[in-house]
Amino acid sequence: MKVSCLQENLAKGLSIIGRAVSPRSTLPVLGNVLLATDAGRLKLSATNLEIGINCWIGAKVEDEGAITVPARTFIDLVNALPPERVDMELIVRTQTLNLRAGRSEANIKGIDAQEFPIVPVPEGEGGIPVEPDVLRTAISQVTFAAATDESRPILTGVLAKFEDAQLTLAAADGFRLSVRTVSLPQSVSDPFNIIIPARALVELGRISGEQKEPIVIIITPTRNQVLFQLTDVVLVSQLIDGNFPDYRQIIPRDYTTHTVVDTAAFLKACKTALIFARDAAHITRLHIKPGTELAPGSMLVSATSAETGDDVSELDASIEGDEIEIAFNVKYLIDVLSVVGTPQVALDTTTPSSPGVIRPVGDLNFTHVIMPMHLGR
Amino acid sequence: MSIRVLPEEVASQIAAGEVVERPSSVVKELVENAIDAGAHDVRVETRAGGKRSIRVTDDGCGVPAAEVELAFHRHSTSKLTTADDLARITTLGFRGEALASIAAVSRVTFVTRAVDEPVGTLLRLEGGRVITRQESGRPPGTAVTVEDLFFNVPARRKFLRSERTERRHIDGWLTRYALAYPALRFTLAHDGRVVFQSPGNDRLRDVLIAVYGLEVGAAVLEIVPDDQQPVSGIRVTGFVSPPSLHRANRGYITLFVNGRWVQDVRLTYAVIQAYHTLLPSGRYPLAVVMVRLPPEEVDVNVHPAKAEVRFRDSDAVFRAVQKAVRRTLLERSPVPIAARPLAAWPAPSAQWRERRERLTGLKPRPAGEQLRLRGERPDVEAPGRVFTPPAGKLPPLRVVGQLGATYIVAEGPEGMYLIDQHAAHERVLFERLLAEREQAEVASQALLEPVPVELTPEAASLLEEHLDVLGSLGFRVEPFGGMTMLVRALPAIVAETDPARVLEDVAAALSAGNVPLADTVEEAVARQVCKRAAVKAGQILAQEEMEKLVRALEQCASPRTCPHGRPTMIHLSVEQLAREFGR
Amino acid sequence: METNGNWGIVGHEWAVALLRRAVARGTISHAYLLTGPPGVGKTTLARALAAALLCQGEGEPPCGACRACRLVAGGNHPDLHVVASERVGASLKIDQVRELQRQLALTPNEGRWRVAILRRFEEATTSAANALLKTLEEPPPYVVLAVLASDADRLLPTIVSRCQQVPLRPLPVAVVQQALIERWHAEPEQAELLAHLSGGRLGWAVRTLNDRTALRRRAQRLADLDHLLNISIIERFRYAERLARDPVATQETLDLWIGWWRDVMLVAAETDAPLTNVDRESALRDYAHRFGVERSAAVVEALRSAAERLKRNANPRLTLEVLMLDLPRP
Repeated sequence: MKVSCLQENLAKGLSIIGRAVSPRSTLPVLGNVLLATDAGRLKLSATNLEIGINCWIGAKVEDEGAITVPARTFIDLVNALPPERVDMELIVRTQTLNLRAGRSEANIKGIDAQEFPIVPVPEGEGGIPVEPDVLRTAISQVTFAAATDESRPILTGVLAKFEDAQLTLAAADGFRLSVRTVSLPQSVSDPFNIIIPARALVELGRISGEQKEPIVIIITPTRNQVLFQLTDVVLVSQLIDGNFPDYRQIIPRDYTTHTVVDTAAFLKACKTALIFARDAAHITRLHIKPGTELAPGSMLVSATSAETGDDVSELDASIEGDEIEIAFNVKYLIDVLSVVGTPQVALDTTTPSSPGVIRPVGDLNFTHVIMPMHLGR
Repeated sequence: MSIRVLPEEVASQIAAGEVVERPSSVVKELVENAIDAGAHDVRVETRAGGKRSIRVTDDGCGVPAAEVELAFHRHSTSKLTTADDLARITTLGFRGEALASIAAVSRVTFVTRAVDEPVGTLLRLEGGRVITRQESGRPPGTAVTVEDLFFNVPARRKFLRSERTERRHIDGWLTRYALAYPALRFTLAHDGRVVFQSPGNDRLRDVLIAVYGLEVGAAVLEIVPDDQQPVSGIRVTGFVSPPSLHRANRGYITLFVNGRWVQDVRLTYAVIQAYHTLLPSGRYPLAVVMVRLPPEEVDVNVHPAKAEVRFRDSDAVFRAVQKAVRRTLLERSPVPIAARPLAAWPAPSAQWRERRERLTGLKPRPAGEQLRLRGERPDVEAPGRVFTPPAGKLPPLRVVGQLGATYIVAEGPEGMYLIDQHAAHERVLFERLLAEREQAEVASQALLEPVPVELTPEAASLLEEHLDVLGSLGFRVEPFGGMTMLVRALPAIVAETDPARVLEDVAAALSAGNVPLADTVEEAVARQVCKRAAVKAGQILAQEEMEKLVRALEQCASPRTCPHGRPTMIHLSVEQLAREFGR
Repeated sequence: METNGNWGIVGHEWAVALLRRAVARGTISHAYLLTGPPGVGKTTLARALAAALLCQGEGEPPCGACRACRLVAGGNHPDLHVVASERVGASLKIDQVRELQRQLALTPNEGRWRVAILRRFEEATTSAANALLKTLEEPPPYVVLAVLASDADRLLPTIVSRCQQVPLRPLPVAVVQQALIERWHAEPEQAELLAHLSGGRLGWAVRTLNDRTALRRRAQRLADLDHLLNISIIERFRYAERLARDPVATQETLDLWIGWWRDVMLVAAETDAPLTNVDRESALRDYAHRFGVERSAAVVEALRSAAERLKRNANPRLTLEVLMLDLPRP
């Protein structure tokens, strides 16, 4: 392999794939990045066996070839190079990568590229295009509700349901559920479900910030991986096997109180309550009082701390239905209120022990369910 | 001291046995004689670990010239005359064998002068036979020199251990007497070098300083006397270590019954028991406990070595000791355990209360209410008592940083503290959770879908038995047929862990044998919950988080140990640091 | 040896046939329990199974040449997970099982299967074993587990009952000897001795062949044994204390002594049964003459029960001290 490229491009490519490196794996080769010539460009790959990322950068290829080199060393080295041309040559006999840039020269001992796991690339045409902004928003609205505890692996994933011209993303961690639908420009021929690790979607959100073209979603023929094709980047994720809980059953159909408040004000009240709720398992009470002929409805957001005192914020609210007092984990409220994306938000409740449903006002594509908390018995 | 030969009847009632086993037993017998003679100053000098010579000098009443020989007669004693007296033993050397036994196996020089006689007597014996007797001048009191112990019993001599070991035994006995008789001044010299001296000022703490050093002496807590006149006539005095001070074995628990050093497994256990949950497992307190009770309540005549006693009502003695020590720990520890930290916060101002009331329609909870004991729930609202926060058992600490993502380094007025973040957080959560439970305010988080958890039959039935306790701690669990339990809600502090693991832990904690005595089911369950919820070792904490944890720990009633009894912190005093650096 | 086709396994024809058939017919079980003494070939067979499942080559798998076969051989296949306690005698922890479960929940990276090999599973803590149960009950469709243990009795019955059992027995000495010469190019004499000493455990024989100090250690331990028979109890206890500090050496020593005393017993009984310590016949005869059948049988029994106790986590020093009392006195 003999290849030249620009330091800026190489550094940027490495920063994109860097997060998929897994330095402490039982397979030492996973601590490396793959460099391979590919149709006149240089392909960079990294994988932790859950998420793999390929990134192509412009390069002048003199000799084809591939090698893997220790990620940490290589990235640090490239970042330290001057913004000039970088020449790289693989010395096959020793599996060493010789690298020159300006006056610097380095030799990095690599591992045979054959030992690197295959990070698939899209083959042929096909795939489901999605607008990048829409997908990014959907990801931010759903992934936070996925479980971080590994005891139930399925809940660390996000259900992606493709049906007709619609993609539904759903995640739940045992206490809350986020469901978001995204319109697809064309219908899928056969409906199907996959479960994508939430981490992979978060990573996709991170690397797709500058993406303008649609992101193409491709399922490999073995149904073992999902590929997200961006411009010059492909993120590959393994899928989680299993049956995702039926989320539709969890979303309450009815409510007895429908409360609409200003999203920003509600979020601010929650952030204040968090200061006091921290010591009390984040418990925050909502006291929802419908208005009368004389006074508008209100929602009191209160939290008490044995050590720091207590806090009550009063919000104007438009309320239909009964008065209710219900308590939630304020962290969960903050999580969802931060991503609803509309000026007003609606909260539907029935009893203090049944789930609350939060929806953006004027957007039917997003639903969030939170289980309440209780004090005492 | 008038000496008479014990009637046969009495002699036979006394446990037989060898009195002299090794140099330290000689020291013991001679020191006891000195104490019985009313000495104030007792001096013990040894050569070669007592193998070559032991000399005990006292300023007691001395032995009248006419009775000197009688003192070496077997079964002679100045203290007992009839069997009835046995029941009222109050002096130590009640068995008249001491001097005779010693004299039989060594060369003894006995110089004594009774207070009311003008001259003293010198008696020299070898193997029990009198070699010399002459008048001798010396101040009132007695000096006994025992040389060449076992010179005529080579078999016994062979069994003596190294000089160092024998010295250690002698040290042990002398310190025990010094502790038992703080009013007496004891001096111990080995091979001409004074190794120990008690002040003899009748202050036990000063003796402790002499024995264990300044640091321990200053830290130990004096046992709080029982205000009520004890019905049983049992009085317990002495000193015990605070929970922060402990040792690796029980050897530092010294017990005296009516001034006699005793080894009693049950009483030792009574002391240890009082520290329940306060000490790490495998660690023991340091204690000097004096029990006084009417002589007829105790039989000291169980074993010739006299370190064992038998009580008429041993349960009463056990209780008295356990209570006295526990009371001391509760009262003398800087903050009373009774005042839970939550109770110690000042009530909100009236203005604040009013606003809160207006906004929430909720009646404020009077601060005083939190102090009420379980079960006491008065109908009328108690007047809001305001408590200022206690100074805290811990001094205010400044967080310096985190070590190995496991320990918090903090600085206080008395040096450096290394705090185990997991243990400390466990303690904070534990006290908070139990306090919340008292208030029926444990936060519980409902699950999106009930989770069925399959358990062993034993675990399932244990949990079923304690559903109410689980409920009060934030669990909502119901039997779901067979060995399956359905979890609907979890205590909020552990909500983010796998329900199955939490339930399994709790069941394991409840399973037979794991709930320690004097511990409640609530505490056992709470401990497991807190263990799961606490920050783990290896978790990097922000400065703010560490400060919060340390502040919360300062508010704890028992901040120095985690609920499982391990220490939460190590303290390095300014002095220690200075010493380590050789400043 | 040819009967095992391209699996490259010496002996164990029955087990290989069973697994080959399952691979060929697509009737693979989700969990196999491979049992047998250490060094008998459990891991080797499990790896061959993994290669056969993951192979992408032509013809009957494993082809031994394709990318998957090479990665398996090199221990680098992303769909093969090998889990074991940190070292012999340590425990396999629940966190290791959890991490494995996390990986198994993900679809395979390169092939159709994810294969997990759990070595020395008798070393798993109870909670680790219980955690694995979940996977054994509902494994993802692409998962094949190979649980390896010295003895099924030392696992939770719930684990055993959920696995297809494949017990591996020691190979005939001649097979080991031949394999050592043909495959590992051992000198014939060395091959004979190792084959006998191995007790039919080819893995052990190969390891010992490659371990230059192994035979020296054996000589030392047999000398120790000789010495122990002539010294006081107090000195024996001192030896026990030293030995107990090293669990691996303790195990090795007990195994060696068991083989030795078994030989003594066989020689004393004048049977024709094959001996283990073929290179020391005269010493064996001397022992047999000194101790006879009864006493040597008693020593074998004492050694066996000591080894058994140690497997059940008895205090090593106490166990060895008891053993020292049971060894014949001078």
